[in-house]
Amino acid sequence: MSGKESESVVAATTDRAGKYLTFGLAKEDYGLEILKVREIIGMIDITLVPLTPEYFKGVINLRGKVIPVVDLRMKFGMESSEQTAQTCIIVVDVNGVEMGVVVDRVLEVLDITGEDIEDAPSFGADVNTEYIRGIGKTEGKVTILLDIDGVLSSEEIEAISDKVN
Amino acid sequence: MFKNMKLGMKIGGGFAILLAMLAISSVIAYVQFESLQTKTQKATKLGADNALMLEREIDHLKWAATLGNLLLDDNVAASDIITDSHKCALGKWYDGDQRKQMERDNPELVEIFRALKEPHERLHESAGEIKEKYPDFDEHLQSLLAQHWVEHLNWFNALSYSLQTQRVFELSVDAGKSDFGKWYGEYRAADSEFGRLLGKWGEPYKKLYLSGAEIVAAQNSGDYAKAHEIFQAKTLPAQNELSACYQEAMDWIRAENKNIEAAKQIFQTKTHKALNEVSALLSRASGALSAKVRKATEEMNSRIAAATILVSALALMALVVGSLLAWYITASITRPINRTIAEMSAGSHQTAVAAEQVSSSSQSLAEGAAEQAASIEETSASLEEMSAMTRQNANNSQQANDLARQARKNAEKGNAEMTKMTCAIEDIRNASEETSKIIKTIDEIAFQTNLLALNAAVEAARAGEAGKGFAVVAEEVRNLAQRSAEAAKNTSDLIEGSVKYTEQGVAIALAVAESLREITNGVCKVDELIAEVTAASNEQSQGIEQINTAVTQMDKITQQNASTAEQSAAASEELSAQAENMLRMVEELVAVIGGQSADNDFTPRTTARLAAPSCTAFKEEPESPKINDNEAEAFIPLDSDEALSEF
Repeated sequence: MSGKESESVVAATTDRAGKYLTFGLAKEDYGLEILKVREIIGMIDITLVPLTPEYFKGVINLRGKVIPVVDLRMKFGMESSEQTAQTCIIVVDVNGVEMGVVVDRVLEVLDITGEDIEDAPSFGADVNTEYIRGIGKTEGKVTILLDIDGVLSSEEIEAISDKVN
Repeated sequence: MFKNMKLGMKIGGGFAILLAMLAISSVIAYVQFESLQTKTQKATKLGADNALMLEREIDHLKWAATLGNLLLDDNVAASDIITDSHKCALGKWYDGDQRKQMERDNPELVEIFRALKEPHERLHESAGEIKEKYPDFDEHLQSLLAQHWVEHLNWFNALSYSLQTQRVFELSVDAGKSDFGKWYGEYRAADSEFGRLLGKWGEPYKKLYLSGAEIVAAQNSGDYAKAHEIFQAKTLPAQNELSACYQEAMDWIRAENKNIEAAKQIFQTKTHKALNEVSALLSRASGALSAKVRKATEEMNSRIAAATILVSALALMALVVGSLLAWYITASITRPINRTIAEMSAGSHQTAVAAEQVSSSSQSLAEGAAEQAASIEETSASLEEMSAMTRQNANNSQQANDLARQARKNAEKGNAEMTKMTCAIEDIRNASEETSKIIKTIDEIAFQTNLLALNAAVEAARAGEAGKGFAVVAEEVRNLAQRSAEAAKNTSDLIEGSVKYTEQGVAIALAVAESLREITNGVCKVDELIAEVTAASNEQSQGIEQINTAVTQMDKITQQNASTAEQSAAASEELSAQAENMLRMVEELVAVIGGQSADNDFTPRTTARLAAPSCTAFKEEPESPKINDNEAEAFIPLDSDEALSEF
């Protein structure tokens, strides 16, 4: 079953058009492939894990499952901000490992067509362009479409998963 | 020190110094003259002594001359010769205190005087001897007697010749009338012996002349024989007797003349020698005294010279110091007086100018007084109006008092209502807070719903085609959740606004309560003030009546002022004249102090200085108050010699 899913993911990747869950981080809007998203939860208590990188906030207990949580602001080299009522954790599936990502706010599920997606420019953005699938243009705004697998590299994930498990 | 003294003290001090110097020089001069006088007295005494010595010498020379004259001159009697050595002038002096005094003063004379005694006594002894020898008769007696005898013999010869020639005897036969008779009748012999001898002559002489008379009678009768008889009988015996008497007298005279020679001999030998010795001794004394006199005189002269120099020096010093003092005192007196005169002069100018200004001011004052009188009448009318207004004020203030009391009651009521309102607002606020909590809950629910809807959308996307319908539902749910969140947010805003307004309302209510309390207090004060205003109005009313009487008095006084101002104008003219008088007097004073030429020395300077602090009235004058010499002369006749001469 997981092989089928990965195939479809690849097909979706090659074809960048599709549904995206958009969220806000600082002033910018970012987009995640909807099939990478497992669940959206409100902010809950995060248990701190010692001897981990700074952007690794800790772990949560999600219905009996221990999931590591990454602060995306930290990961992107931004300043960490106060937690608000809108702060959420998006649980994503990175190469089969569930991980929580803390974002400032969750916006909506958008269906973006192929014409509305352009390649990332070589410079000018806050993040490394390797993690960007493209730039989505929606209603006069610009949404940065993230490649979450790139963002959370397999080594890091494994290291964290090892620590957690 | 001298500068601070009074004038009297200055002059007195100067004179005191001069008098002190005079006293010092007088004392010194007195001391000098006193010693000089002692010296002089000493010299005088010595001189007198010297003179005395000379006098004594002269005395004795005189005495010796008298003695000599006794031997030569008939007129000098032997009784004039002083034979007692203690009774002559020298002897008296020698025995007297004068000699002892002189010996005490001049010890060197003692020896001389002791030596003097012996020759002096010898001198007088010799005189005594001379006097003893020397007869007391006329030296020429012999020749006189011989002469008269010759005359008598002539008469006798004439008588005998007339008898021989038998002619009448023509000469006088009166015994008292012949030359011899006349002499005999008049002659009084000094020597008794000679007198006795001469007395014998009388009888024969008488007889002779009687016989002569008889002869003449006989001759006249022509009886020449009888005349011859008479001549023989009477005349010749008388003549012989008379001749014997003459011989006797001549013999006595010759004997006496021998004594004279002896006396002359004594004078030559003894007297002269003694006299020379006495004279020499006296000369010695005199010489000694003369030497002393010379010495004393020299001392005196030197002392006089020293005293002269000392007194001259003192006098010169006194002159110098006196001159300096006189200069200093004169300067210290005249300088301030000159200053005073200058200021007085300037002051007089100023007074003259001021008097004119006073005159004009008085006139304007009179006009002003008239205007003032009119104003006072207006004031009187205004005061009556004010009186009426004041009464009205009193009434109004009473009404205001009532109103203020009403206002206070209302304010208190308002305060109570405010308290209730504050409670109500507090309730509203509490209710709003409750509502706010509910709204928050709703908002949370909306948020959770939104999350659920998103999850549902994610699930639907995973389901692919099968989940499309579910995705639409999820979308709708999410829209609803957003709307409800939006509504909750709006409501929350509204409730926050109402809470805010409520709080404002509470604050306002508190402020209003405070204001009401202030109003109450203010109304209380207003109440009190109005009462005071009422009382003040009453007092004001009384005051205005008093003002009214005062204004009436002011009216009178203003009229008096007008007349007084006119009088003061007249007085100021008088003052002007007095100022000119004063200037003239100042000029006289200047002439007295500094002489006629000194009167312009100070006037301009002081005038300029005094003109500086003049009042504003002076500044308004078009002409400058500074007066130079010419102007001053124009003001007053400075060179009014004629005017002065009239004085």
